[in-house]
Amino acid sequence: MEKIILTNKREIIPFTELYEKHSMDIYRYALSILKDSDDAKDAVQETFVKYVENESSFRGDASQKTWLLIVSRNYCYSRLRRAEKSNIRIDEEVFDKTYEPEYDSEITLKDALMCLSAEQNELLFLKEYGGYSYKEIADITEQSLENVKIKLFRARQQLREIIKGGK
Amino acid sequence: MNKIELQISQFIDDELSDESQKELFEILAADKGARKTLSDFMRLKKEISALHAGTTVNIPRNIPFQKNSIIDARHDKKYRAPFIISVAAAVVLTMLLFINRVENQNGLIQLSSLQKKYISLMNENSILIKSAAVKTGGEKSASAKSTPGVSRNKNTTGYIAGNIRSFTDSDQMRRIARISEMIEANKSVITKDDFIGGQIVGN
Repeated sequence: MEKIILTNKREIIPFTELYEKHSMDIYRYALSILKDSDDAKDAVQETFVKYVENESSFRGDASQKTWLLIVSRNYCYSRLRRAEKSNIRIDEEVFDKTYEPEYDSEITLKDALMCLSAEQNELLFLKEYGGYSYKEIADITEQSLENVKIKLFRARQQLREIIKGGK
Repeated sequence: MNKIELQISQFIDDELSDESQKELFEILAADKGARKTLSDFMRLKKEISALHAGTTVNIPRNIPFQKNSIIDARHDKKYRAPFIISVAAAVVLTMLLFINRVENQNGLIQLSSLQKKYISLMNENSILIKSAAVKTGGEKSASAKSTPGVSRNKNTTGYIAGNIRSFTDSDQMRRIARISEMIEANKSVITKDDFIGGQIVGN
């Protein structure tokens, strides 16, 4: 499996190259939070539009990918908040019906992940797929290192419980 | 919260200190449940990573929008305010120009009306002067009564006639008659420039 190595390179790569290199990862990250493919595609678009608009103000304090992830994260959570305000809430019954596995089948990892919160999914994505350190995750998600450590642990515990319960 | 499981979570994230790792290894060697937790967490880590890596979607591999168009749009915003101000200024200037033109037309109309009034008064004046000249010749009362201009405008003619009656000097009368002739000859070209302080001057 190709390991995603997130370096701390500070050089600024051209926009076209940047898009080709990171658009898919931004999509996956947005998908882990929004849990919807179309919304995640919108997030990719918005993220790169924001990047272009603010390109001149990018100082290179963080890597471009980290910057993109933060922008994408802000977009995703603001979208989730808007959805909550608009009362577009998934009915609990519908949610259970959609993601609960069939009685005679095992719960898949994808189903289990869908049962986790947006924040738990996000943390697992950044750690397991992105390979970021606790410190980097804390910077991206704007929370303390201790919080990241504990929340990640709880997400794993919960995920394991869901999978166990499905078997 | 299970402290051992938390340490296992940190261990698989490569965030556990060397000292803590040694302690954890000792626990793992003795505790089957801890080994199971480690195995579960490692499996989850691997599967989550594989799941995300396997997630693909038809995102355009090239840029789905023109970078320049976004920059242009940003520049459009930058120039929007000056553009609006320019348009407003143009509208105001056009209105001022229109108002000024209307005022000019009104002024011309007033001037034309004044000229007509002036010519008409001069005609009356001329008639009165002639009648006054006749009067000084010995036919005062008869000529004054027969003058048509006097009967048309009693106020004006009365005032002018009163003044004329005071003219006793024949030189003055001649001078007035000469001026009147000059006015008659030039009345078609009288302009406002011929007025200074309510009197006719010039040639």
